[in-house]
Amino acid sequence: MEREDILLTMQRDLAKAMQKPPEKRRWGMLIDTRKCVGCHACTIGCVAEYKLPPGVVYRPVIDKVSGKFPDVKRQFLPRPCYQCENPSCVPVCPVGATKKEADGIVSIDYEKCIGCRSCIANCPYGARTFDAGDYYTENQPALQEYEKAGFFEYGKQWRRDGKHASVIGSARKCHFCTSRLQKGLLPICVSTCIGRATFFGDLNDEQSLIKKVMGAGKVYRIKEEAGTDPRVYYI
Amino acid sequence: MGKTAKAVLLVLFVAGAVAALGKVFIWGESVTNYGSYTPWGLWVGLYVLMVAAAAGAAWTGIYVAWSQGGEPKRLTTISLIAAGAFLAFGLAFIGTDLGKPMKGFLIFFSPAFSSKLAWASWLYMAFFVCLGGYLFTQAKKAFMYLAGLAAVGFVVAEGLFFGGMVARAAWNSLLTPVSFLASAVAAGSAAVFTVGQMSSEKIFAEEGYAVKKILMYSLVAVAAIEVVHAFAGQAALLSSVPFWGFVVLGVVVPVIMLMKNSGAILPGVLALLGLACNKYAFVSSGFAAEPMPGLANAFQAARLSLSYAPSAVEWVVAVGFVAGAIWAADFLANKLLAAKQA
Ligand code: SF4
Ligand code: SF4
Repeated sequence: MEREDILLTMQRDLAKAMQKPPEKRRWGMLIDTRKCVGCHACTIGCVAEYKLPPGVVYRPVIDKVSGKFPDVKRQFLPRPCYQCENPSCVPVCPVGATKKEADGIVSIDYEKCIGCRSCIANCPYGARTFDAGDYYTENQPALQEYEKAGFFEYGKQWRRDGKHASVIGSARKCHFCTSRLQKGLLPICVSTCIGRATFFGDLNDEQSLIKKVMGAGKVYRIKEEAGTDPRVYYI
Repeated sequence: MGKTAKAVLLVLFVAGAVAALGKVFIWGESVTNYGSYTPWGLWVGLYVLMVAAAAGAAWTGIYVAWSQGGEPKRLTTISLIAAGAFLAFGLAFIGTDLGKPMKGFLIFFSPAFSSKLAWASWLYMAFFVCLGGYLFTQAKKAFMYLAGLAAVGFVVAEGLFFGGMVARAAWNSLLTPVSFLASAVAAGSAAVFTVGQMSSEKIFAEEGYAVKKILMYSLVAVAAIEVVHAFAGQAALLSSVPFWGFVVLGVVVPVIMLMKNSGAILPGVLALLGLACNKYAFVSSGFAAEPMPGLANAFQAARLSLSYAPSAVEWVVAVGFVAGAIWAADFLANKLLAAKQA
């Protein structure tokens, strides 16, 4: 029997979760490092989706080499924002621009953010970056239109082309593609993953694919000792 | 201090102010070198120093009053004016450093009470209110003590802000607020030692005999705390050139000069410079290690690097604002003393 692409299964799980009120959902991610081939498609998919400028990256893939020859191991570790249950980035924000939403996603209000970068300093995973207002194609004959195009985050459209576009000068990070979720779409890193190594869904739904895969394997989280209680797991 | 030296301070200040205005209104972050993995640099280090110097100057002024009968002395007034000037320029540093300087006021109108930085900001304002009360009302003594209390509050809040950062092993320690308090005494007494003698050698000679001792002992205390700090987790400090600059230029040389009673204001200036190196080394040490090994190489782009060196504009603003704080403190103290004599 032909197996269904896991994207379709997760898409159905997502639709089911979206029926619930936000406080009943608990979005989580599982990354199967055995399946990740280090292609960086997720990183680039995300850069394109959110028109990320130089200095801003939401989901880099860390190339980890461990052990000594001949027992050398190479592993790829995609690193989104872990949407921590107890996020250390939130209490240091002096203006309350970053907060934990009802569905557990840690958001940034670009209108409120003053760009102090305290949250960047206090993320144990380096998951936050600073939008300094740079462009990849500046100092070229023309600034390319795609860098100035609009993008959707936190349910709103944003642009970076105005001198005072509030996203410039703000802290930025992965948000599990809030605006895509609202439209019933999986996060862009999940859909672009050619190894199908990233699972996404509602951790409160025992029947969801992500929970089933988590139950079947030995999962771990990064830097548990920081006390942030991340909601991104690795296998 | 001679007229030429004061003119040099003023020129440096004007250059720094022009560069800061350029960063805020025209160039934006294109003229800064901090980034995502080293989000804070020279300006944050100097902000921490200036705020510490403000608190310490206020406490030194209070000690001068307390040890000489309890009533505020002329040197108390000079110290509190120096405190106000250092605090104002410290805030100018952080205002210039913000990604959105014009939104900085939100910290007063929409503060998050979970943030120690928000608490510190309110306490800065409380300090300025007390300073106004000290200078312009009859209740000088009460406002003097209240200003000192506000200063304790903002130094402790800042120490806890940095010391509570779980993501930065180098700062995440109770020693951080302790070191902030000690360096506030050292930086503040160095500021009073410098500005006090610049404004009036006579007043300083009559009322400032304790300042030299406070400066000497506090410098030694800060050095001792920093060495313990380095061995208790801030190992990156030991390999940092600015840290050793602090030890040699900011502690050993000024302490020897103070013991020999030589150098006029130079020991104070060197102590301030050394403490600036110390604060810069402290801030940099927090970002010396990657949050996750391999992160800095995972995605290559400008500002995604662990290495940081201040840009030319960062330097011009840094030198200009420090010079500006000293110039403004001296200028205002002279104006006020002249008005009192008239
Ligand atoms: S990974 Fe970092 S930025 Fe994301 S929620 Fe946790 S502490 Fe905050
Ligand atoms: S950079 Fe923005 S979101 Fe982060 S702590 Fe500062 S104000 Fe808050």
